[in-house]
Amino acid sequence: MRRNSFARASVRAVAPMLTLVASSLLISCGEFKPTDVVNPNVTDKAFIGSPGAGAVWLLGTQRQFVITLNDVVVNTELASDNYFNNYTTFAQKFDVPVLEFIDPQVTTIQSDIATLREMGTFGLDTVFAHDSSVTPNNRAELLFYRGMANLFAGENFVALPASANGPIVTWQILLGSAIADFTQARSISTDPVATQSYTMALARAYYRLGDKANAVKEATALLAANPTFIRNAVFDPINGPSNTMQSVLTSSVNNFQPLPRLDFLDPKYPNRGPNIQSPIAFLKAEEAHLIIAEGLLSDNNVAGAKDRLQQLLTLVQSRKTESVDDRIQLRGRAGGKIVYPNSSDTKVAFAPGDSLLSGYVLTRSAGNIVVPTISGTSVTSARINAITTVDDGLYVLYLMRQEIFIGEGRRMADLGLRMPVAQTEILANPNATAGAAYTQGQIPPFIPLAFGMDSFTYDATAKTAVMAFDMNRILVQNKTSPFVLPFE
Amino acid sequence: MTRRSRWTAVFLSAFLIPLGASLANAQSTGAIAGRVSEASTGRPLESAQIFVNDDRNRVVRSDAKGQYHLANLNPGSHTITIRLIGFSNKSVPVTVTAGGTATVNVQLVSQPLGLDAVVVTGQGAGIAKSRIATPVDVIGSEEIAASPATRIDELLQTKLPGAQIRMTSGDAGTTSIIRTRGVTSVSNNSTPVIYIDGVRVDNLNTIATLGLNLSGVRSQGAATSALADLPLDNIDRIEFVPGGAATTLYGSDAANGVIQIFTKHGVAGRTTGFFESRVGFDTPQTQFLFFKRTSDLIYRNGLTQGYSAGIDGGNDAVTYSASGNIRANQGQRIDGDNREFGLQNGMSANLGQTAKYQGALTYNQSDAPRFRNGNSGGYNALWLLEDGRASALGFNNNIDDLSPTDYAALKSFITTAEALQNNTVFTRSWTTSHTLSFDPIPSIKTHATFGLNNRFSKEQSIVTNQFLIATKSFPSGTTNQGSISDYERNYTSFTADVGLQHTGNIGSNLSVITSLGAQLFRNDDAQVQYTATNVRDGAQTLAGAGVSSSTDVAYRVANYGVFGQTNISLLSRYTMELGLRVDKNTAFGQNVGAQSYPKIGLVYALGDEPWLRSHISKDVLSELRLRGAYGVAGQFPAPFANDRTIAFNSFNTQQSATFGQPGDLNLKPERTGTLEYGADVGLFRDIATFSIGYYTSRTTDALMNAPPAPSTGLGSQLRNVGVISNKGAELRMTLVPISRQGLRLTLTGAYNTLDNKVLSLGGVPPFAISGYSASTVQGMVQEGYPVGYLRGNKAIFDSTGKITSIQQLAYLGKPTPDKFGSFGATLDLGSRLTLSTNADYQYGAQQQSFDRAFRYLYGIKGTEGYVPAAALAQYGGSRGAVWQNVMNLWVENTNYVAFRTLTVDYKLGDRFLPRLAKNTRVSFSVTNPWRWASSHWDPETDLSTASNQGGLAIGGYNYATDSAPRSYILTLHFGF
Repeated sequence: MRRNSFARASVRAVAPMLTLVASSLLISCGEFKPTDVVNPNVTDKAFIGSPGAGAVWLLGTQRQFVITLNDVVVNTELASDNYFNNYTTFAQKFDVPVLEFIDPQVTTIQSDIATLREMGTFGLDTVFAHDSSVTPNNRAELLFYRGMANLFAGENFVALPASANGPIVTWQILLGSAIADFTQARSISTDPVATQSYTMALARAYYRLGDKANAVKEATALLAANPTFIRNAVFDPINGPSNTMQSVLTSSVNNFQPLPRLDFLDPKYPNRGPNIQSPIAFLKAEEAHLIIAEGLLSDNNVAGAKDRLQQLLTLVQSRKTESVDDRIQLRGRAGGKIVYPNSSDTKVAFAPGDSLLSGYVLTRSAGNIVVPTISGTSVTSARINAITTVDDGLYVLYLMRQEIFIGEGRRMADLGLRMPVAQTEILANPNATAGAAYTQGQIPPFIPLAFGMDSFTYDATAKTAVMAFDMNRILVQNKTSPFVLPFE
Repeated sequence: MTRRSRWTAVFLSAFLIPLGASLANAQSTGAIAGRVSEASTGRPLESAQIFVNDDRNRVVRSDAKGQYHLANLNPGSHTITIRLIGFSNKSVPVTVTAGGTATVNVQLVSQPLGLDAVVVTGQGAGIAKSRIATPVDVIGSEEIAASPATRIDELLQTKLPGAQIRMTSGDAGTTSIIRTRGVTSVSNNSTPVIYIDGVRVDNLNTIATLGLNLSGVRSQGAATSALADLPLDNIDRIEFVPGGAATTLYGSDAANGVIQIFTKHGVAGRTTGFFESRVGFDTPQTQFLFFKRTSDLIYRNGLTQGYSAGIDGGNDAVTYSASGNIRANQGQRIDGDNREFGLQNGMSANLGQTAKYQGALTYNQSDAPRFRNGNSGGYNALWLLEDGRASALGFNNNIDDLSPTDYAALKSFITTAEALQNNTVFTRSWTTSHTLSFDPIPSIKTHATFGLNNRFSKEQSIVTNQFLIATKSFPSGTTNQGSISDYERNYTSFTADVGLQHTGNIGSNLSVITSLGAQLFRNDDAQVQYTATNVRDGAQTLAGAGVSSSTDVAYRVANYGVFGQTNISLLSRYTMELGLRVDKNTAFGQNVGAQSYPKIGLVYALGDEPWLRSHISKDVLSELRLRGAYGVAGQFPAPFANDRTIAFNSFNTQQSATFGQPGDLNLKPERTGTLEYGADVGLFRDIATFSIGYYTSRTTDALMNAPPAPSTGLGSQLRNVGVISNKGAELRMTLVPISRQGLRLTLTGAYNTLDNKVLSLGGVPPFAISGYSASTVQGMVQEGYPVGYLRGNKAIFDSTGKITSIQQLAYLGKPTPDKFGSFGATLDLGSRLTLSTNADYQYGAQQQSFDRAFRYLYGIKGTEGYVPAAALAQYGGSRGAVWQNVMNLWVENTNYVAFRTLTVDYKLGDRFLPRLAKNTRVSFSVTNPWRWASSHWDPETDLSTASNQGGLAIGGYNYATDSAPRSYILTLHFGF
C-alpha cells in the first residue's frame, strides 16, 4: 500500500477542508454565539423602574387578590354548613370538619394570602418607590389589597406570620394590621368610590375583632355614603383566574351541593356564557346593616334591630335575580356521595322535630329557575316582625347572614372555625415552633363533627328533607362563646 | 482515477444514493474472501466486521451466510481482523496476490463478556472494553433487528441488565420510567441522555411545560415521550453506559448514563436489500381488570401492520445504507389507531486513505390518540368503569350486573364518548450527523462531529359540544362550549465535538491511549399553546372561534467543555484510566464557574497472569478480570432556574405582574460521585460467565425544588442543598450449558440490588414530589428515606378489625424496588431455528392504588372486605369518611415477574426461495405473554408522576391507566 504518499495526498486534500471547517466553526462561534443564552423572561432588575411598572404591579396584585379570594371562598364554604363536597378533589376533610396543619388546602390558602400581602409590601416599598407615575389612589388600592390579605388571615386562621418568615401573631393582631392598612388607604385616597370599599372593609374587620363601636361607626358611614354599595371581585374568563365557585356550583356531576334548606340560593354564580364569569361581591352594603342590627341586639334594642333588618330585607329584595338553566345539575341521582332533593314539592325541616317548610328546594330539571346572584334570603318581613326577643333576633340575623353571604366564604368564620398554621411554615420558618397551639385548628366544642353540619335525612318518597342540625340556633345558644357572635 | 473524479464521485455520492460503481483498478490488486462462522455450532455469523490492517477506512461486513469479500487490496502481506459483538476478535495474516483472491474462513469463539468489543461512548474515541474499568452494554444490529419492540426503551427493557425500564401506560408513544443505579436526583428525570451518531437528541420523557393534561395533577400516563420516536431501523449498534465514572467525560449532563445509537453507514460490497413485513394484533391484558365487561366496552383486538425496506452497499470509496419503515396499529383501545413512518440513511466516503466522511439522517413521524386517564376527572373511561365512577353519570356502577338493556345503554354511552373524544399527538423528528475523521498517521485518529436534532410535537384536544353533551357535561342544545387546545413544542439541539486519540506503545509492554476533545451542545426548546373556546363543532382550527388565547415558553441551554483521558496498559494486564472533564453551562448561576469532573479506573486482568495459569488452566477459569473505578458525573439545573424573575399574566386583557422565580446566583450542577468495583469471570471455556459489581454513589449539591415557608408568598426555588445516596450490587450471568454443532442454549440473568436514601435536605423541610395531598398519599423527599417514598394515613387495626390508632404522615411504602433484574433463554436449533424468551422482575417496591380505593369508596360489589367492617362501623358506615384514614390498605407490594417476549425465528433455506431472495426469515413473537404480580392490580401501570417538564418520574401510583397490550406479531423478512 502506498500509505505514505497517500497520507501526504490526503493531508493536502483534507487540510484545506479541515481549515475551512475550523474557520467556519470559529466564525460561527463568534457570529452565532451558540453559548449566548438569553432568558426570555423578565428579571426583577429589568422590571423595577421600568415605565408603568407600578400600574402593572397593581393589576397583578388585583389578580392575586382574586386567586386568594377563590381559595378562601371555595374551601371555607366546605368547612361550613353551606356546601358539601359531593364530588370534587377540593378539600376532602373540611366538610367533617377537620382542619389539620398538614392539609394541602390549609397550606395553599395561607400561601396565597401571604403572596397577596407580600405583593402589597413589595409594591409599596419597591415597585412604587421607583415609579413616579404612581398616584396616591394607586397606593391606597395596594394598601387595600394588603389589608384584605390581613383580613382573610385574621378571619380564618388561628394565627399566622405577619411577614415573610416572620413571628407568628394572633388573629387579633392580623386584624389590627388589616385595620391599619384600610385606615391608611382611606386617608390617602381621593377616590370617593374606592373609599367606600375601605370603609366597608374597616367595618368588617372591626366586627370580627368584636369592636362594636368602630364596626357600627364604619357601617353607618358606609350606608351614608352609598346605601346600595357593592364591590365585586372580577375574574378573567379567558386567561383566568376564573370563578372557581362558579365552576363547582354549575358542573353536571353534583360537585358542591348546598344544604337542602339553602337550595333556593344555588347557583349564586351561574354560567352566563363562555366569555363571562360571574363576579363575587366580596364587600356589600348588606353587611353594614347586619353589623348595625347585631350591635343593636347586643344593646338589647330589639325594635331597632327589627327596623334595621327590615331595611336590610328591602335592600336584599332590590338586588338582582337571574333566570338560570340549571338542568344539568344531577340532583336526585346517585351522582355523588349523597343524593340531594331535586323538586320544589320537597319540604324541609331546619332540625329534627321542626316543622316542615316549603319553598326551599327548586325543581331544576323542568326548566329555568330564578336565583339571587348578589343576595337572597328566605326571611320575610313578617318573620322579622315576629321577632320578640334578642335571641330570636340573633337567630333571624344569623340566618340572613348565612343566606346573604352564601358562596362568599364568610360562614366558616361565623361558625368560629379557624385554620392552623401549616406544617410547611412550622418546618421552614425559624420563628415558628413545632407543637405550638397554633398548629391546631380551632373547632368550637358545639360544632357537630363527622359531617354533622352537612347531614340531613332525605325521604325521596315523602319528599321531606330534615337537617340534622340548625347551626344558627346552635350559634345563638352559644352566643357567649368566645369563638362566635363577636358582639356578645 | 484522478483525484478530481474521485472527489466528484464522493460528492455525487453524498447527495445521490450511489449504485455501487467500482472505482478501483481491479487488475493490479487482489482480494480476500471467506466465511465467518461460530466455532462451536458452525452457524454462519452475520454482520461481523472485517478490517484490513486495523484501518477503520477499510472494513466490510459478513452477510447472512457469513460471507465477506474484501477487494482492491495491494498485493503483499496483510492482516485481517474480524470483530463481532459477543465474540472474541480474531486476526489472521494473509498474503494477497495481484488478480487473485485469498480465501480466509474464520471461526469466532463466543465471548459473553464481550471484552473485545470496541466502544466509543464515554471514552472520547474507540477503545476495547477489556481496557475499561466500568460496565458498558453493547447491543448489536442482529439483536435489534430480531426484537419485536417498537420503541427503543421497550427494546432496552430486557437488554440492559443493570437498568430498570417501565412503560407507564399501554398507550402508544407514552412516557416510560428508566432508572439505572438508583435515583440520583429529585429534580431531574432519570432518563439517560441519548446520542445518535454523536449528536445529542431530545430525551424528554415527561410532560412538556405546555402540553395536554389528560391525567390530572402529577399523573402522567397520557404524556408523550421523545423516546417513542427514536429510530429503531438501520441501527448498527447501541451502546449504554451507566452514570458515574463511565460518563465522566460527558460532564454536567450524564449522571443518569448515556445511550448512544450508531446508525448504519453501509458496507462495501454487493448491494443488498431487504423487505420486511410485521403483521399481527394487540390484545388487552385482562388479568387485572376488575369487571369482565370493561374489556368489551373499551378494548379490542387491534390489527398491527408494519413494513420496512432498505438497501445497503457501496465500494471502497463510498458506502451507503438507506431504509424506510411504516407502521399502522389499531391499538388495543377502541378508536386507538396510531401510525408511524420513518426514513433513515447513512453514507460513508473515504477521502483518500487517511480521512473519511460519515453522514446520516434519520426521520420519524408519528400520530397517536390520547385517552384521559389517572386523576383527569370528567369523562375518563377507565375511571368510570373500573373505579366505579359510572354512578356519577347515572349508571349502576356494578357493570357486570347490568341488565342487557342497561348494559346496552352504558355501551352506547361509552362507545359514543370514546369516538367523540378527540385528543391527538403528532410528532416529527429528524437527526442529522456529520463526522469527518482524519488519521494523519496510524497512531493518531482525529474526528470532528457536528449535527442537529429537531423534534416537533403537536398535541391537540378538540372538545366538541357533541362530546360535552354526550358525556353529560352540558345539556342538549349547548352550542357554545366547544374548545380546541393546541400545544406545540419545537426542540432543536446542536452538537459539535472534536476529538483526538493517540495510541502509543512504550517498549513492548506499555500501551498508552490518550484522548483529548472538546464538546458543545445547545438545546433550544420553544413551546406555544393556543386555545380557543366557543368553537363550532366540526372546526379543526381556531379561526373563527368565539375566544382564543395563547401563551408560550422557551428554554435554552448551552453546555461546553473540554476533556482528556489516558488509558495506560502494562503487559495487557494492568490498566489504569485517568480522565477529566471541565464544563461550563449557561444554566449555572453567575457566581458559578467551570465545573470539573475527574475519574480514575483500574483494571487487573488477573486471568492473564502467568503464575495463575500455572495453577488454573484456561479451560477451567477462562477469564478473570478485576476492575474498580471512581468518577464524578453531573446533572445541570433546569435552564433559567438561576435567574430571579417577575412573572407576567394577562388579566382582563391587560398586563399584570407578580413574583416570578426567586432565583439563585449560586446554582450549579448536582454531582454524583460513584465508586464501583467488580470482577468479570469466565468459567469452563466461558460456558458460565459472571460479571459481579458493587457501586456506591453519592450525589452532592443535589437540586431540590423545595417549597419555602408559605409566609414568604413565593414559589419554590431550585437550590443545591441535598445529598442522596445510592448503593447496589450488580450481577450478570450467562450460561451456555449446551453448545455443539446444531444446538446451542444460552441462558442469561441479571440481579441488581438498590438501596436509595436521601441523606440530607440541607435544612429544607420534607416536601412532596409526587402524589396528591397530605390527606391522601404523597411521594416524599425526606431525610433518611428513599426518594419518593409513599406517605399518608396509616391505620392500626386490632384483631377485630377496629382501628386503634391512625398514624398521620406515616411511611406506607416506596416506589423503588430493593431488587430487580432480568433473565432470558435462547435456543439455537440447527443453523436456522432460534427460540428465545426474556423476562424482567422486581421485588421490594410498593404502589398505592386509587383504582382499588375508589372501587371501595364508590361501593362496588365485592369490595366489602377491603376495609374491616369494624373499622367502617367506627365511621358510621360511611366509606367516604373512612377511606382516607386507611391509606395503608391501598398500598401493596408490587413484586412481579413479567415475560416480555417469546420469539420463534426461522431462517429459510435459499432453495425454498425465489432466485434473488437471500437471508429470508420468518419469526413469530408474543410480547407480554405472561406475568405474575403480588398486587391486586397491574404494577406496571405506574403513573410516572413527573410534575414538570424534565422532572423526576418516580412512580408509585396505580390509577385508571391502560395496561400494556399483549401483541402477537408475525414477521417475514426477505433479503436480496
